[in-house]
Amino acid sequence: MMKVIKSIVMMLFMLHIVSFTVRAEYILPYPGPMPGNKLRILMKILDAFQYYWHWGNIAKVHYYTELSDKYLVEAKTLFEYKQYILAVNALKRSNQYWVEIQRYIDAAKSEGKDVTELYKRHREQAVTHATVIEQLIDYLPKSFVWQDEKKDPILLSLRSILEEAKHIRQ
Amino acid sequence: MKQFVILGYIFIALLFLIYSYGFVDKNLVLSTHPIYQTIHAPLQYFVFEKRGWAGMMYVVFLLSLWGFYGVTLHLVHHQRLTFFEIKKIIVIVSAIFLFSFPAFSYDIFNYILTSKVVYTYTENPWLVRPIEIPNEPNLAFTRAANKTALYGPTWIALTVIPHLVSMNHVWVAIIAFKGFVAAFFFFFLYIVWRVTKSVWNVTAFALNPLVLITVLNEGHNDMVMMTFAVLALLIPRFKFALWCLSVLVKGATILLVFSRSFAQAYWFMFVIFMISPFREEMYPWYFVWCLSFLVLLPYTSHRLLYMFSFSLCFGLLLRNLPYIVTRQYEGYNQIIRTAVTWLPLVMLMSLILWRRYIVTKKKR
Repeated sequence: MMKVIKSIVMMLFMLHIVSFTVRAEYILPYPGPMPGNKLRILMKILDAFQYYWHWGNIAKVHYYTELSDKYLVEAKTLFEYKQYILAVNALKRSNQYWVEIQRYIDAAKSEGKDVTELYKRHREQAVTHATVIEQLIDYLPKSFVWQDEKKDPILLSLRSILEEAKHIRQ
Repeated sequence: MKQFVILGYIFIALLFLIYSYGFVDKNLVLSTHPIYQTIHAPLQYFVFEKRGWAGMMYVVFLLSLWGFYGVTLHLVHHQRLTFFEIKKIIVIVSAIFLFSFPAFSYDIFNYILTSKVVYTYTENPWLVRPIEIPNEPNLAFTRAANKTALYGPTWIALTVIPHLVSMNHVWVAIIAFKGFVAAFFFFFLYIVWRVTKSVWNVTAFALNPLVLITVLNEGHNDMVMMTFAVLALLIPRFKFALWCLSVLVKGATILLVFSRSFAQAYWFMFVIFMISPFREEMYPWYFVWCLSFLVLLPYTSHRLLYMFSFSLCFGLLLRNLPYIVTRQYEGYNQIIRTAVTWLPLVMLMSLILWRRYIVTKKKR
């Protein structure tokens, strides 16, 4: 009996020793409902509601961080499926929200809140975003003429759009 | 005997008041006044360095409080203590416990910090964790600051009152938050009196050591939740609104929507109490949920239920002992805490069974 108890104690002890620390890098979310999906309207309503729920400057930073991430992932997915016009729209949205993050971090700072950690996290996010954008720059054409049915063709300067997105995040 | 009880209660409460200040977190400076520092230093040394003795002292407090509680209930039962005398004991003891330091739980600091997140920093407490404001001085001594608010909007809204009273001073904030809970405690006593018209029932709640320690010493908001819950059962016209207010304090009273009587409500709350360890652990103050309905039931027809509840109260208060002695929550302490919780109840049940055995043996 004592042997069993001793083994259990030893096992528990080993569990404590073997445990190690891991540091999570900044991870982007899975893409949400894409354009055309029936659930997309729900997502939009929820996002609009969340704007009011995230009161306070730090909460607003969280809100815009989530949106910026979500639309970047959406843009990446759409680029991969060659849905360039939709992808560009998503990327522009992500850029808009990115600018808001910085604005709310500054607002929190002006309220006397220590934003060091918030800013650090924002920089990690910037690095992750930049990596994704660089990957897109590498394999996407510099420009693309988008031709919708019964509509005039649109010239998409993909390279400059992506460079601008990268520049905003620096 | 009466004088002995009154003076004894005051003496024990005063000793507890002094003892409690030994538990002040090392990162928390309540006052820089030399007199406070002179008294506090040996107390802190006693609590943090002589932990075995501090634990023993805690047991002495528990035994004394339970002893006086038993004697007081006995005197009240035999009408040897007047209503005025009981009121005097309750008010004095409550006041002393109100000014004691929350020794065995840090929840009050979470209440204070959460209200600061809302009313000082104007942030959503259900989204923003206190540690996200690293320059907040209360973080130095607040536990579980890495969690978003665990309490509902009723509580968060109500805390504006003690928050405004506290004027950003920690000690004032502690007393303000405890005072706020104590106001509900006194209102609850009034409800018990109005419902039962029994001094014994009022005393059974007011001087119960579990109530004194968890409500008046630690200032848990469960008292607020239960006041609304009891009112919901008492005022059928506003039942739903009051029940919602109660649920939106902490959520534990959710099952009460189905209850029709105090006895039923007791058992519903007991079910919630029993499943509480699945979320975190069986905290002593959770039993205030059951006690709040118990004291609305007449003692004569629910004697066994009272004995069962009181023995569990005693066991639940013993849960603080392993922490006082080891200053640790984890490891073997968890097993010890569970054992001491049920030990008094097991002893009581054994005693009842043994007495029954003796009686039946004599009859034969």
